[in-house]
Amino acid sequence: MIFILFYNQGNNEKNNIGKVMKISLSRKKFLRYLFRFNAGLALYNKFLLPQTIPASGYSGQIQAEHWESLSDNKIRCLLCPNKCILSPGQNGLCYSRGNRNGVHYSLVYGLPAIIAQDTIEKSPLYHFYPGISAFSIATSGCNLSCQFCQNWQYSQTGPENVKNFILSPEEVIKKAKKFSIQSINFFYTEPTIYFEYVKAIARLAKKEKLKTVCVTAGYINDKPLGELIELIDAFVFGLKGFDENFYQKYIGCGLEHIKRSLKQLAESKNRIWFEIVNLLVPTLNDNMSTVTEMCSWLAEEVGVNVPLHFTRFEPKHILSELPPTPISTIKKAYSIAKSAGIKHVYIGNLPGHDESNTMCPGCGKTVIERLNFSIIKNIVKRGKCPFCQYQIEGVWV
Amino acid sequence: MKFKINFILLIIFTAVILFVSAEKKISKQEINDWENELNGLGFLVLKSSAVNIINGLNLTREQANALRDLALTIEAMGLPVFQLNTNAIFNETAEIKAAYIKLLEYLNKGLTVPKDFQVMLFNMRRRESEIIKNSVWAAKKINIKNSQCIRCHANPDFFYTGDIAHVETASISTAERRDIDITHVIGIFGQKGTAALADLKGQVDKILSSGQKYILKDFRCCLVPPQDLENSANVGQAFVSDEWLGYFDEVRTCPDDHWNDFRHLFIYPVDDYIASALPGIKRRYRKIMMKNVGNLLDEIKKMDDVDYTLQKKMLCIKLKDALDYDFLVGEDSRTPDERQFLAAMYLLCPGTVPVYDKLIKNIDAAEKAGRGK
Repeated sequence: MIFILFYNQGNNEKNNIGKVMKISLSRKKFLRYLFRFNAGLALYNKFLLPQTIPASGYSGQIQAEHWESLSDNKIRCLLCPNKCILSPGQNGLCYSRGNRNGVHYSLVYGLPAIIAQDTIEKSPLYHFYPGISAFSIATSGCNLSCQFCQNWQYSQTGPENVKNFILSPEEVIKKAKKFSIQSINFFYTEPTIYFEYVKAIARLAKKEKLKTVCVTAGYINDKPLGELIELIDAFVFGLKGFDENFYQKYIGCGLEHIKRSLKQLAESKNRIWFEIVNLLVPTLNDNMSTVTEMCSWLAEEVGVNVPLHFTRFEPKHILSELPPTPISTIKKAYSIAKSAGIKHVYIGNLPGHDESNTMCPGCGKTVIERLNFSIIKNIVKRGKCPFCQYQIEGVWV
Repeated sequence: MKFKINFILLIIFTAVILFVSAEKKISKQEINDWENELNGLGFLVLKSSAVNIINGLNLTREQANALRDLALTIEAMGLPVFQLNTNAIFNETAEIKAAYIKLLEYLNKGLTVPKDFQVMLFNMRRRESEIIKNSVWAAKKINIKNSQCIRCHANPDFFYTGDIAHVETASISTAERRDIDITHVIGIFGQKGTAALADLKGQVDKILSSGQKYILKDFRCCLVPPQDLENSANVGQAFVSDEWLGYFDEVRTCPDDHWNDFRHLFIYPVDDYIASALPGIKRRYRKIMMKNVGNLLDEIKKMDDVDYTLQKKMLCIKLKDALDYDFLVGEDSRTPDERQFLAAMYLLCPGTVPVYDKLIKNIDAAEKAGRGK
């Protein structure tokens, strides 16, 4: 019998697709191959196929929010300033939202690619219920393209290329309660792009008196950010630098919009708690005059009570050739921020240094000691310093 | 004739008895060689641990400089015990010593220790543990009256020839453990060196931050750092959760239907780990540990993917607890004074001056590369 196979060859893939190769096979041989193929398939399904890959019938797709229809079944996504215009079948720059027959869908609803149980300090969030445990969750995809991304294997691709868990919002809450986790943290990749999933979980979390935290780069339009502010208890804002060129070249967006989001959060301070994190990347955003400019702006526009974390860069992704941030650079940035009047400045990703402890702004004594995202000692009582009774800024147990 | 034969047999019998019961004579040279070998192995393990912790503490330039100055003070004393004999003297320990020297080369160059070498190193560590256990067993048996190491660690001539793993050695109380620790430190550093470390421990303490002291508080000897040394989040600890996670993942690949048949094969490597870390452990403690580990693996097998992924870190802590031997080695009962001394012992260990030099050079290079000015 004649059996036809498609084949392609290495680099000349495009040219060879569709070419056919004729192979002669006897019935006996064909049946033998068929049997082997089926046996292999059965074994693969039984032992090798990850159980968490979406089962048939669940695609992770749910109609998206914040978009508008255009002509020819095209749509425009209005979630982030990228404002992707997508033809049917096309996915957005974020890999996680796409046009399906003229309707905009989230492609990652209920399909987290990363789940972990962390301490809240890992976010980093130091003034929000210190020491509580967090259910960290993230889907694949991102609307930015940071060249030093720590989780690029997940952020720079879509759900079809990673192992996903199937986890409905109800299931997330159920698991959090099962393990006595007090907070759900949308972390590791940008939560903006799984906006609908974040909102659904946050609504349920509120009912169950669980806290919610968004760790975001702030590249989101005002309206959806406003909706998140209504639902989320705390934010960690990743301010990646303070230079327009740096943002354009290494992050993939403009700085002005980020500053606007940050101001929007600052205006909602009475409703939410937030802290700012700045990753210092050697040679790219570690210029101390820029750090000085950033700290002055933060003190003036955002407020001196908002904690600022400087974290150490570890060579990752495209910038893996760069060295880790020198300790002295981080310490200089720390001093600059302190001089600018910011009350709570921290250094992160650098275990063993006293600058990761909380010092009372009133008396200067250490009230919380930390190591590696864990609390070693916490003597703050209902937000007050036990030495001078200063009310330390934050949300406390 | 009969009397003559009986007489000859009696003489032969007496000669055999005398030969068998005669105490083996150990020359002074043999004692010195063996003592040097034991202290040499101890020193190599200590030095590797020192390199790991110095590189893992995220020291600032100022801290590295200050510690280097103190390390120079120790170095200047030229303590004789640190003249490590790198030649193979005893067949039993030659390979172990060579492996530890090779490891130090990797660590001094700041290179990642290759996986296959790590496996070999683990086997060497286990072999060393068995030798130590054997030497303790033999010393008790022959009861040598001597003030040197050989009193507690007989040389290989007296070793048990069977499988030492099945032999139980005497229990050690916490108080005895402390005395043993002190004796070992004196063995490596000598009286003079130990006194010098005790003098400098306060100065070392002043240089370190509270977080760094916390890292050192429970630090145990560790040959290979968890991942490569460039990762600042690694502090050179002996407990490696990444390794355990890989182990758990393997457990979960075993088909449920076959778990009961293969369970013991998965527990077996832990038995190896216990043997290398605690050569003198009592059979009953070992049994308890193995049972705890078995229960934990059963729990891991039963978990769904989400629960398992969420609980990974917690499972590592549980495994650590299952293998907890603090009650045997007494880290928990260290006094603040002892902790300060141990910090000084690791950070000022002879031979660390070049480690500080390299660290300072790296700090300078990173600062030069950055624009943090």
